[in-house]
Amino acid sequence: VTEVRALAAIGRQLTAGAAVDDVLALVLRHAGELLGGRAILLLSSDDGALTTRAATVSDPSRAPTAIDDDLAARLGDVLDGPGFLAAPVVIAGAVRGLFAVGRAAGTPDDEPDGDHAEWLLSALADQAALALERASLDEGTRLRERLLGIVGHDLRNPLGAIVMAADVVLRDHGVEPEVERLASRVQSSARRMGRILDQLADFTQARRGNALPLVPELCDLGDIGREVLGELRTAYPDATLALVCDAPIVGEWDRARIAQVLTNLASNAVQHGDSERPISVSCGTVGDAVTVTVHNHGAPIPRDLQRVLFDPFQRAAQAGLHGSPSFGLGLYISREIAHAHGGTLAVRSSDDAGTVFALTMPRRAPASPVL
Amino acid sequence: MSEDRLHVLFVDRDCPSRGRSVAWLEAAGVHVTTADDGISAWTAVRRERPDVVIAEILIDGLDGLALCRALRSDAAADGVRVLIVSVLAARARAAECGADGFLRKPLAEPALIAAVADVVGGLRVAS
Repeated sequence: VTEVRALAAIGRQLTAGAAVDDVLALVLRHAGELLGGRAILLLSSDDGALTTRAATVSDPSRAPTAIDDDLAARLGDVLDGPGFLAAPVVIAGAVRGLFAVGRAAGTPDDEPDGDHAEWLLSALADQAALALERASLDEGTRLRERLLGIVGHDLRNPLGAIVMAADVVLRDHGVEPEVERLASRVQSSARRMGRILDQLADFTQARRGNALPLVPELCDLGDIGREVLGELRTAYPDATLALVCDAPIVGEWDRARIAQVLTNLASNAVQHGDSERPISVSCGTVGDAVTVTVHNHGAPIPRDLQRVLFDPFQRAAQAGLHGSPSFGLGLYISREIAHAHGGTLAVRSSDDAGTVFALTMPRRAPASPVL
Repeated sequence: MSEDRLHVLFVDRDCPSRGRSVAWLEAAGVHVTTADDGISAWTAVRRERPDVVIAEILIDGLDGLALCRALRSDAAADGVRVLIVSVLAARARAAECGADGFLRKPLAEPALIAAVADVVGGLRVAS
């Protein structure tokens, strides 16, 4: 019972998200108490070198430094006696180290009691492996998000300079047509990069657990829809875009953010829908809430994909996206904007009905953002 | 193998003790090949069809115990005997993953030869 309790206590720390050093310290302490000796956790590198990750030994400098023929002797030395038990630390299927505990004199590990101790040690080594694996995953995630944050922030200034320089060239009426064409290409590409950076900034903010900040103002959903469709008709002259909005629907929302959601949904509809058939954006009310739907015909979104559609980077991972400039962040950010307004963003997609994205939210964005 | 001698695949890091063990086995008339890590051992088993695999646990790629489990679930390795040898105490875990025997390192010549003879039923090993 003591042993099960020890394992349960470690498991609880693991699931509670305790720091890896605390979990390892607990594993070592229980190993010492239950198996009666000092303990050491060694991590191995690909060339067989060993480094001490955690230990309750009297002199860590005597720890083995490589998996070689001296390993047994060095382990016996650092653990104060030739009798010890050791188990591999296996992370993601590969040996990443070993966990060794000294044994009090007179407990040979080939005795029936030895099996028991061996299993216990093995379970403790697995707990340590889990803690280490989680720590390395956490670190990878932190690093990636910090990197995205830095990239998003630091590219903005040089990009601003590019846009400005292109503006200056375009404003000069004397330039050659070829130069003008190139400058306008520079300008539109730089603006697109700017939108990607905006998405990255929104993404890192939302990932840090902060709701996207809103600046609510009194506005009409139909107005926002008209403005967005007007811009999209310029960008996609071949697409048929219809707005269905019979009466003004007025509320307090962040106008730019709602326009961002509609732009994302409608341009997705243009890129992924049937180009021969119209795309409709409809506004309406459902009880106290308001709703905007974006509908397109075309191949339905597979059910598996629907489940993960709003997860970041999902679209980018899907093949056959016709080179769309999407990063796979648009829907994730759109849903975050819906949440910040106290609303939801949902999708329905089928063969007969086509695909509908529905943004539903209260007439008034919550004063303090809701996550 | 076409020859009649017992074939052992010895899986361990390339270290002096592996060299010694290989020499002892060869002196006992065994044909020995080696692999340094679990993954190359697994492909070597499929290619060479040894009679016995002797594997250390602390090897790269696939640890010795995982290698043993992989071999036990692989029809192509049917009938291959597995002997786990390690500096770790792993008798019970070796038995659980289907190994035919376990030897704690450091290895001694008589114990190694006896263990190999034991897992193949005493056949074809000159003692």
